[in-house]
Amino acid sequence: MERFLDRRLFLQLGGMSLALTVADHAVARGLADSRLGRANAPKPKPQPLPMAPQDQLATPTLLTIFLRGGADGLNIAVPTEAGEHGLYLNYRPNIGVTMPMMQGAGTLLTDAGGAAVDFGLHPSALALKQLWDMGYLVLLPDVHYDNGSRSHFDSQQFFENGTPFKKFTPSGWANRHLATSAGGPALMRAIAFEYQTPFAMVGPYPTLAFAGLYDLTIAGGGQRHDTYMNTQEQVYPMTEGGSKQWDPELAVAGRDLVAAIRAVKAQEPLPDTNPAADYVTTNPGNGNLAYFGDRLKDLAKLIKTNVFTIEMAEVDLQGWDTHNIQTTEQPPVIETLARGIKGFIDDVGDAHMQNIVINVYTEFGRTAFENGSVGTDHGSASLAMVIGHPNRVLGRRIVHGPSGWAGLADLRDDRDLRHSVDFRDIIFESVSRHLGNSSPEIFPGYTATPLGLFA
Amino acid sequence: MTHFRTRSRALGAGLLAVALALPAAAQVRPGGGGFGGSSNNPPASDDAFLYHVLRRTTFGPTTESLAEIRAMGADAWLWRQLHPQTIDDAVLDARLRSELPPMDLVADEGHPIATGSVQLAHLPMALSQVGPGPAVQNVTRGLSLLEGVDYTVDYQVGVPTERVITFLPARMGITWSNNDNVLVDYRSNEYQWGELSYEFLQRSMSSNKQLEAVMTQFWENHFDTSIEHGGNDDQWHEWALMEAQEDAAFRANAFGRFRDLLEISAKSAAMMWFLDNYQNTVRMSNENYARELLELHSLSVDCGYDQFDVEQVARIFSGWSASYFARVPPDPCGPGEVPPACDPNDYVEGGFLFDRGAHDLLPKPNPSDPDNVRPTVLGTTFPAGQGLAEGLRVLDIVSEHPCTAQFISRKLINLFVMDDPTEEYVDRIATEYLAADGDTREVLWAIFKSPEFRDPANFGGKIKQPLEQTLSTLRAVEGQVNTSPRGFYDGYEWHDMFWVVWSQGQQLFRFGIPTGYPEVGGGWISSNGLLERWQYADGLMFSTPRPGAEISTDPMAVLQRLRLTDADAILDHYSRLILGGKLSDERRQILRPLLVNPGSGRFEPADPGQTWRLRETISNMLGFPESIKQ
Repeated sequence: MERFLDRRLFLQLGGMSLALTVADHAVARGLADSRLGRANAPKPKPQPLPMAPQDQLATPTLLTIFLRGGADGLNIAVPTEAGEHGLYLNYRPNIGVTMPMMQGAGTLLTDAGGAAVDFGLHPSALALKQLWDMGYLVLLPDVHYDNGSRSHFDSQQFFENGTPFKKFTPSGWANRHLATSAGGPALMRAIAFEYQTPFAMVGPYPTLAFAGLYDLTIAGGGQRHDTYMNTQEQVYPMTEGGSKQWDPELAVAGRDLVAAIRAVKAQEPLPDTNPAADYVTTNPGNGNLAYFGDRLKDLAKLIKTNVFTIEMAEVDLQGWDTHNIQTTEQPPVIETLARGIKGFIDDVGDAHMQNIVINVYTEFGRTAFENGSVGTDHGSASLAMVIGHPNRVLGRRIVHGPSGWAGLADLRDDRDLRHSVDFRDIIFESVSRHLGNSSPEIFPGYTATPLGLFA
Repeated sequence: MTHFRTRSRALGAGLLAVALALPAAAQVRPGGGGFGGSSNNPPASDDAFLYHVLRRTTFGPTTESLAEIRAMGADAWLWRQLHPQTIDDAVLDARLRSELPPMDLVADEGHPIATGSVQLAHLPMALSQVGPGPAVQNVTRGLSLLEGVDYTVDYQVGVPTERVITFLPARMGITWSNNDNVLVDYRSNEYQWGELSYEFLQRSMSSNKQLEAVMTQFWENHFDTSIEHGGNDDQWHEWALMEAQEDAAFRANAFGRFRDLLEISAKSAAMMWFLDNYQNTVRMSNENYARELLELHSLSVDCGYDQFDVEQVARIFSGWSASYFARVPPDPCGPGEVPPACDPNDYVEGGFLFDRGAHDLLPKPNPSDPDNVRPTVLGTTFPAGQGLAEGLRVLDIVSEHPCTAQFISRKLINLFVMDDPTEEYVDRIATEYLAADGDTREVLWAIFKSPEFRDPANFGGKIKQPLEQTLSTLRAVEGQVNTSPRGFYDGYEWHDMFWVVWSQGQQLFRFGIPTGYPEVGGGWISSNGLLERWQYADGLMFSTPRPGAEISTDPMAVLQRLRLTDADAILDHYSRLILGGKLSDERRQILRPLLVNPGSGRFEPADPGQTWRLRETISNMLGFPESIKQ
């Protein structure tokens, strides 16, 4: 099903300066907002100038993996405490993960002292179990936000704009972090390996999105590629005055794209993938999931060049909306997730992992009860994970919020797991502790509760 | 029990379209008041306005459509597009009939007679125990092509086996998947889905009924269903056929009443599957469809309903299913038939099945339910035992609701006019919607008449979706479709258009989020979208025509036909079609050197290098920001 394109990446030396000013991006978006009549959009502030290029090894990276579709956390991190487990199996006679299943797969969890903990992992998450044992993994089984929406569109929007129930916030939390902090050159500070920029990265600050490294060439390189780059580089910033025909956002996107392509090509050949990294890049049987491992591989390559100061990255994984036959639909996606993350960690290596933190979450969990289709419907709280080197992340722990695990006997609306952690607590702690930015603009109007995730 | 099979070429008369009694559409009058009169409205012959009309109401201007709209004037041209029955598409229909193999549309109330799982070599024996007939013959034919291959087959006599086996000859040489229980492997699944996408794209690209094609895509996206749901490889053939049925019905009702479109979607097997309603029964409620019906299809989020309404509407739609999903073959009572010879609980309409036995017959809300938050749902009550009529009544209620009028009007304004209309403008069109009883043709006419549609400040202000980008490119450069019967099945060539659109982030018939793709622009701007666009432009202009290659271009031949030899005239010709107007001086300075002979500074048709330079010029122009806007 993959598109087989015979594209070669050619070594290309670019002369383009990497230091694009942020000011014009801010103006562009400000213009765009007023043009679109969003009079109440916050006007971008004057931006600090970007810092000089830094060694990637010294640049902290926050990788976000958004599980799109409402991932059923209860089947990934399975309650194993006797009372909870009993309720869990009552609610899920067909799709529940049993103790024998986890025992057989070796996915039951213990703390560092060998004592049992209150959750085990789905049999397909063996790679996560390995990370747990090595101290890389924090499980947060009950994450959401107050009065959580059960609409895909709305809840994803709230996770990404960082302002639950305010739908028209024009930027995402990640963009607001970028806009309120100094970092490496603006270009390549934030990359999404996606067909479209995820909303978290949308905003005045320039970010990049491309599906993979294979994508960064026209005509397989050569003279046509050069002509194309030179032409578009000139044309995109030109105004076509007056009408709505000229789009400042588009102008910036075009210029950024040419600069990014030139910057990456200057680094070719890119570092090899570590052969020990066991990404799942073959179809495990549920649609085409290979893209997930492929994108993580590409991110690892860029990081290992030690050139690009990639502060924020995103690779999403779809396929979680398991309304029916969850026993068939969910396991391959869980396996893809687990092995992709482990493969990435093995690929970038220990030195780089000291500076990388991974956040994994989803827009909502699913009903505690299974439904009539051997699946689950939209719910509320779900599993989130924070993953990183034990020198950075205090792993091998289960973290709840101050109100503690609500339990399966006390369901929201008699159907959903209640949350004890607001998703913004995870993101804010990661951004402030790992990326060094505690700006209140990241989650305006919200004060995060510290979770103690980091060393 | 009836068992009938319709062989329909291409996306023939959808059963859903046939089953609905379609009211005769009211014809709109051309030149109804307000055209060209006020100072806000440009004269209808103004070129800029003509490009705007073509860019918005078709999948992209062509030399022919430009000539046509100049000759007719915008209003008459729009009137004609709103009445596709007046437009001739015979050439396209004939081509598609000759290119596409028959799609067996089996509407099967006669469900499998027998099911089982057996080694393929033993299949004829297993079937012969059921009885002789076409099934056994088909399998024998299939077996002779697969000598030496040994794998397990899940068989069902009656429906899937026959359909699948007859396609075997087309799939010789393709490796089978490792899922031994799957008779139909991955590529042959795409084959059916690929036919659907191919025809959809060809119609959108080449039909003269352009506005109808635009509206078909709009309804397909609004009532989004995805062919890929649940990942059962051996059912993709069936899902493709369900999508094809739905597409045909939307096309036939592109300008119809919204109430009729709601019913098409509500009774569509694709929708019953995608939003799980075939699993919504009195025993176990599944509210997925009910929620999206209210939130995404009609009233819109948080308008006129709440969670309690969703739960009650789910009860109302219990038992709405499709014959294909029935565990027991539906057996509706025909004239003169009485139980037990038939099942009075079954109602069948095309592929749609209403199973009264699975329907919740209690009143909604149920007065005895202690969890009721109020005694009404959607402002009314539904007495016990009304059955199918309850769901139809819900469709009545929501289609007439002001929230729906606002929602649909806003979406259509987004599609044709602007991403950011004023509330007053939306209200104005919503009033038209309600006055016209949700008639799409009338609503569109009101939009096309509105000063906002005719305001030059709104020309070129919308970002194209990837589908629109790809199709408008092909139309502008006169992409030629080359298919041979073998080429159609070969490799990935025939996928080209489909993958181009996919790689820019738009998956036709496979978008798994029920909201459908956004029409409003900001989300479509990204570095990756641009990148894919630039790659496509170059690939298209420089692809060598080869056997089976889907699309080729011959710009030199186009210029010869149009008798264009002057470099600036050539640049303007393409600029009109691709950028929506004449080329600006700034851009001319950049492109002209790419086009002309370096020595003479002129366009030299006899120069061997001229074709290459022409192709490169067009390819670069296709990368300009204005070509991504409309």
